[in-house]
Amino acid sequence: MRRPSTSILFIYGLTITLLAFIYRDPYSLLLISIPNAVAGIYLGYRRAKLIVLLLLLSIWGTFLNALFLANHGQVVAVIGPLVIRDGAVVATTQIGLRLLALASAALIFIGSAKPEEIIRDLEAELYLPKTITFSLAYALRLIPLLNRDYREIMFCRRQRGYRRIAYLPGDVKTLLLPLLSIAYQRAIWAGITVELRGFRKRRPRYRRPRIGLVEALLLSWLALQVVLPIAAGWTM
Amino acid sequence: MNEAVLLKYSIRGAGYGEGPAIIEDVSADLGEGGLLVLAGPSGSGKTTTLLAIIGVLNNLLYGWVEGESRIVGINPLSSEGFDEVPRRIGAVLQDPDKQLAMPTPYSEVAFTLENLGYPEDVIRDKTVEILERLGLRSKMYSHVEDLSGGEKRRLTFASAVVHDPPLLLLDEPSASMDPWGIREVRAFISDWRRRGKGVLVVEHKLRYFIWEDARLQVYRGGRVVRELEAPLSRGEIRFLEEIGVDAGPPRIRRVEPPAVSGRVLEARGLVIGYGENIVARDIDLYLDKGEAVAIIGRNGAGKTTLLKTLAGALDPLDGDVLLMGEKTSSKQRIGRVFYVPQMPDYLFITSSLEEELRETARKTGKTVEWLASHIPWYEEARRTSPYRLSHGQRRWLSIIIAYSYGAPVILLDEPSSGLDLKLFRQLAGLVEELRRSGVSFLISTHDPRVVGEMCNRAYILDRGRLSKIDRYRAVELLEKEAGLSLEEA
Repeated sequence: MRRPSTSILFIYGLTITLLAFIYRDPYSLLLISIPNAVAGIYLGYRRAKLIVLLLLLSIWGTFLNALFLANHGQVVAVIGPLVIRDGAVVATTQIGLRLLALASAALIFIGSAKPEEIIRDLEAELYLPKTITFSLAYALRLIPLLNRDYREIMFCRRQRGYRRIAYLPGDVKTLLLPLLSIAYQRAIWAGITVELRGFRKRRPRYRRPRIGLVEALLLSWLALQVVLPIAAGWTM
Repeated sequence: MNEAVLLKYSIRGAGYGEGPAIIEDVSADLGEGGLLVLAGPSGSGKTTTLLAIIGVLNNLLYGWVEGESRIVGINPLSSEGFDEVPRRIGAVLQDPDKQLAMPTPYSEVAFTLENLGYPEDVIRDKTVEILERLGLRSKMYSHVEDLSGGEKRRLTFASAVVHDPPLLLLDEPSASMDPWGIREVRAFISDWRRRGKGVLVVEHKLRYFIWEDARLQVYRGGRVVRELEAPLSRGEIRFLEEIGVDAGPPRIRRVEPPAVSGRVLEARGLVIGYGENIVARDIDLYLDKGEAVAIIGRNGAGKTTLLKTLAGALDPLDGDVLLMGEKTSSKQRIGRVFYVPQMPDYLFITSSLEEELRETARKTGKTVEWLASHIPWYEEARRTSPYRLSHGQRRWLSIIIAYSYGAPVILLDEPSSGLDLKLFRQLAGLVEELRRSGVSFLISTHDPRVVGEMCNRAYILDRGRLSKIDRYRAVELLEKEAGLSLEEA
């Protein structure tokens, strides 16, 4: 089976992202997070392990946050001096499922779309500005470089006596600072280069989006994720 | 040759933001088939000149330019003129990784033509043709991350010239290139000139690019201090080397062997690689206390893989690594055999030099004062982010960090990459000083200066095998592969 068109994949990913912000009910969130997570990990994990790592870090951060701001209600667990109440668990689950849906949408898109198609198809079929389509395409080009940077930085951190898994805010800072500094420098020069290769003169050739069987199936599944929670009264 | 003028500029001053002039009173012209080389030490204003004359400085980088520039009939300093620059120039910047924007060679080259509005069938034909010409056709649908360093560099050339511009601009084309790649770049420039195109090269490794009838402008402190023509006299070479330009043949100086004997690192029957993919096998090497030993070889020969295996970042596929005479696991070597990557930025973890030293002091038990005493430029740069230091300063800081951890062995991956001659000699002095204090260095390099001036022994890694090589032979080989001889300036 051929890959869905990049434009339809983009619409799919964008809609799932919006739903993740709209839905509150745990069943609705489960509907958009678990099936998409399975598909996302299958399609995109090899290309974007970093997203999975960032997701885990974000969920851990959410839990720490919930312990301070939403730790009320019945006691669920007591770990030494730490009392975890159901408010913290519910908040972590709710936000965790949202983050999972967002990461899954990103993984599906990254795993299925090619950068050169993103810049061409989104411009031509969805009329998106070239600055947005190029940024998306370049982000995908950066993923293998970020993966490489991540491996190098993690090894350098180990040589310098830092723990293997960065889970405290200080650890995360020592990981993100070099990662972002290097990516920033790279992005500046990439911007200059593409301008010198005529990016500002680029004119899209508009065309209608391609909708075949694969796209129809994907849109149907998307429609189900929108309609089912409303029909079942789960949404709010 | 030199019939029509392709490039003509006269810049009275140019700088970044509201800041002072970085360059002043620079001018030149370049005709069909001409070669103009802008040379000078790091920070002398060469790249700023390049960015100024093509309009990048004032149109993209919020800088300012006073003066005139014409590129094949247009004024690139005006907004309308700058729009037309891509049709008239092909630009190749220093680092291919920062230049490649698309995932495959085909899409990378086609991107240029798409931007310039070529029809789809022309895009296909031209893309395949240029990839064929530069030996990349068989890899046109491979991921760019699977290309070697030389192939990435060739791809940057392909994407810069696929639309056949009359002017080619190269910013430090030798950076991150091995001698084999440099020979390809030289051949490409010659071929391009034969087609009547003009070529402007910005370089501090001048000796690779001052040939045929090249004209040379020497930069210092943002000004052109001399104009020369190839071939250079001995006096001119001496002048250039004094200001930090690598213009003459590499020296092979006597590097004293260590005063104290004792083996610190040894590899026996080592097989290195990734999973099923063996990069090199049956590696036997040793490193004595206070030695500096070079490993030379092409890009992609496995030098970095070897260093990373010795440092413990990768597990060997077979064989043993002994540290101080004892067999060690990869985990046991981490931090004791300290690896300094080609891009030193990977080692830094804070947002100022002062913080970086404080954090290093916290981890190593050394004092900030002790660390600062090994950094001559500490006071002037203490509040600067490590990522914003100059290339030479970042390299320096990374070695001091490695040294502070008390590792008996420091592995340097391409330490001279991007350093001008002056910075290189300072770095060589630092390595010499640390060597005398008993630290041993294993250095991956394809720079003949490193072999000739920094190391007392050398190995070559070629076709999956490591063997000893005489230092003089190593330097001669690296020069020959770049298309030069030891006697050639």
